Amino acid sequence: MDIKGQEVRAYLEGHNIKPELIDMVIGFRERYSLDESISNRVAVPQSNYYGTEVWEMAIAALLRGENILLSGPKATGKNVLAENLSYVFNRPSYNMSFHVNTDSSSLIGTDTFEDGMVKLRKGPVYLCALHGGFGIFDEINMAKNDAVSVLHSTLDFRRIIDIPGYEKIVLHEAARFIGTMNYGYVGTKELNEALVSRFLVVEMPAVTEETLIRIISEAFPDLTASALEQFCGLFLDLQLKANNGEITTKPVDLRGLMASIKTIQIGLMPASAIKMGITNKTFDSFERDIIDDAVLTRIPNDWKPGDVFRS
Amino acid sequence: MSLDHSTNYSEFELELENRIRNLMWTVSGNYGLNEKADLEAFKISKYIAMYDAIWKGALAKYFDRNAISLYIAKKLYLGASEALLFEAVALCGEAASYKKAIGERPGVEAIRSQAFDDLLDLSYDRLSNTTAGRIRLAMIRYYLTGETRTYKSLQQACETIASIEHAQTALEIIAAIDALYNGSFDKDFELKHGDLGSVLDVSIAELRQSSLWSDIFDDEIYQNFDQAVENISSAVMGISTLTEEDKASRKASQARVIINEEALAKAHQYIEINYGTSYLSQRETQRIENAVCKGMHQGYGLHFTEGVLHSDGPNNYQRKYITRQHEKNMMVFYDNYRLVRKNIAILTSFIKNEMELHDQAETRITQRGMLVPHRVWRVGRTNDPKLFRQTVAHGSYGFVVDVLIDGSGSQNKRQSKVALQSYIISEALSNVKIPHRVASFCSFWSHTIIRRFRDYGDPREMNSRVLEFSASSNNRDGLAIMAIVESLLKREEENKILIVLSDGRPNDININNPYSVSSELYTGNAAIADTAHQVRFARASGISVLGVFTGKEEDLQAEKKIFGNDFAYIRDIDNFSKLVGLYLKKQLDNLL
Repeated sequence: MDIKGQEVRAYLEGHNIKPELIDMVIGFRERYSLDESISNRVAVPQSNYYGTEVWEMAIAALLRGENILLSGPKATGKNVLAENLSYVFNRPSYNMSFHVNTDSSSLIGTDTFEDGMVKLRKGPVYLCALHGGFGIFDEINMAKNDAVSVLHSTLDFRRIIDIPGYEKIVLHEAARFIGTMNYGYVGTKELNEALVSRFLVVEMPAVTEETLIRIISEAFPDLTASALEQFCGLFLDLQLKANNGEITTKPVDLRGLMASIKTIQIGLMPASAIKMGITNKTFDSFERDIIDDAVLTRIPNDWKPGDVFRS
Repeated sequence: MSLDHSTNYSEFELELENRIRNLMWTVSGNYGLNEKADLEAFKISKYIAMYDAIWKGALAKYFDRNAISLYIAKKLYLGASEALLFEAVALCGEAASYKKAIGERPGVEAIRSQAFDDLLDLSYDRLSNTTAGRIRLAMIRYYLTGETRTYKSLQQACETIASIEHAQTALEIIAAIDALYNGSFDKDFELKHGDLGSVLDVSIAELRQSSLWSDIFDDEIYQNFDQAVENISSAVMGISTLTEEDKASRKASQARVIINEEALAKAHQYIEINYGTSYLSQRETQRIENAVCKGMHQGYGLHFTEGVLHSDGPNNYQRKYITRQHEKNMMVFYDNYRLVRKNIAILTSFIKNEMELHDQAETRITQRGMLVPHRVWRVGRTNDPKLFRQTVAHGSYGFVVDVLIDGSGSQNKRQSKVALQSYIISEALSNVKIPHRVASFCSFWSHTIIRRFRDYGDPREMNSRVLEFSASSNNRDGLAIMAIVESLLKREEENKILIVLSDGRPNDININNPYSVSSELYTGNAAIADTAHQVRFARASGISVLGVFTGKEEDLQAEKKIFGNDFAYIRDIDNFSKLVGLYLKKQLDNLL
């Protein structure tokens, strides 16, 4: 086992994953070597995903050659998990953000003219098939269903891509696809059965206090205990508020919270930082008042960066 | 439309109340709390009201608030003064919860100090006039400076309050409240009515009999005990830092509101029995009312229902009437089955053709895409690499339609006809898979009833519910259009169409609504102008509005005023689809 394999083993053990699964992941890594030229495509996770059950479900599905669909509301770590999986399995990842105009040519490829010849300009799904990568379909339900239907043969047991005028491509054995979707966003569509049946669906649980503390304290190890408690508390307050329909989910923004803390790190006043990262995410003035009040109970106006970070 | 000052003000108050409640919910973590927010205090100082909400939230979080409420109910039953008892509760409740609140939320400390500063600045004179006020001032001084010495007469009270700063149970707070009340506010109480023990001994049965709480223990409504206690909590926890005088005037104003609410609740009950239960929560309905019941419609309400046939209730006249009308409609439907089918087919193909026409993708010659053979000669001969064709699709997926039917008494004779026409439109739209909602409207008393037959995402089977259409009462077209537009605008589809089937006679005068602010009657030109205004507003917001005129020829002018040129006059159901299709085509042309 190479050094990286050991690293991954330790990493997975830290997440309390069953040893059998870890062994198989290591086996997978050893079986499928990685071409040097695309090694930069293997994601290096910026943060960890926490949740043993979800980890195990995802790993087991991918080991058995299935594609997975991560479904869940905002801030549940869908993309973080997808990135983590690419890292753990040591496969290059190809990210595709789906939108209403996503079509087969943007996914699989389209003809182009190079050096006096017509060539196929390979799309991310094609590259994924070639290199045995992990294709990440971000916000898969933003695309029109018929646009995605060209992928049916790729995603099911046939594992092929067949483009008229070019040869048929059989997917690399290690190629997998991971879809993410946020059900109920504005602009999202119902996924059709044919597509859903080609995925195993992992429902991402909402972030809990425990995970939140881990995520934030890992990203900012020198946060003071009280600041950590208040930042997590604020996020959970807002999450509860959004669940009760009192505010929209816009300010329930983990990315925004982390970004705010980053600005405090270089000396911004905590109250101003939270205003940028959380409060101002909503543009409704009454909603902003409600959020402001909640922030005010958690983050005193006179807090200074020194109260947030241990020097 | 001009908004008068009072409209803005009450909306502002509602938002304010919501804001303060939210703060209470944030602190307590319990979104079921239904306590009155102290708006009066907010007008004096933001921080006083905020802090008031915070400590109440904390009290509910850390202590058994129902136990405290029950104690209050019992104490009041024995004849304690409401205003004074609430002063005691406020002093002790705050003292017991503030440390816990600050421990969890450091920001509370600053809000609390600010609230105290504001109280000293703004209410010092008022507070120093009463015993309770003087105790509060002594406590504030203690909190701000740590100074424990005070007048002898207040010393005992202050010690009692300070002693529960670390209280762990509701009973400790109750004991302190009782001691404070008996010791400082009403020194004869204990002699007359007994000590804390005898207060707590009052049974629920006794409370039930008392006139004070009989409303809350109303057998029919609150059969279970928990619910009753919950209601006592809501009723008694409307405590604030206001003085007795303020309290007295506030009580008077509250009493007035209660009567109104009672009457409204009765009307609401009646509407639910006759038109069906609401599919929206009360709060959601209220939100929409706040948004649309303005100007001429101020004081009027909305009720969103799926109809009596789809809600529980007694088998009353209304239910029988609608069932009978449904059967009638069905009979007309069977009699004209082929005609209806034909109309659906025609309308479907009309819409389909039109959409396909616009659906055709635009193609461009580009540097990548599908190779165009007849451009290949350029290779090696020119530097122009544009050998490919790329198609840019124009999505036709972005359509949503609302069908709004005038369900007022004036449509009485045409009920079945109108039902069939709406059904044809609904079926045709289902055929081309355009999400659409069908609803009828009529007004009853001060409420405009929006009866939804099918919602946007409902399956095709729901279309047949349109045939349950029946007509009665008046119609407040402008308000109904506003209510529908309000939710239509929230749809994500780019192209929104509203089809209104009406007879051009907005009319809602039978009832003299005591809450209406506007003195104008909703009939004749005023009503037509209002409806026309709402149609223009919808159009200005990007909704394409089409009128389908179902009325008599003499009302044609009115219809024209309301819808401009975009209305279809249906003389004969035979060519219904052709006409509607033609106008729909025009709308689509404009949209695409």
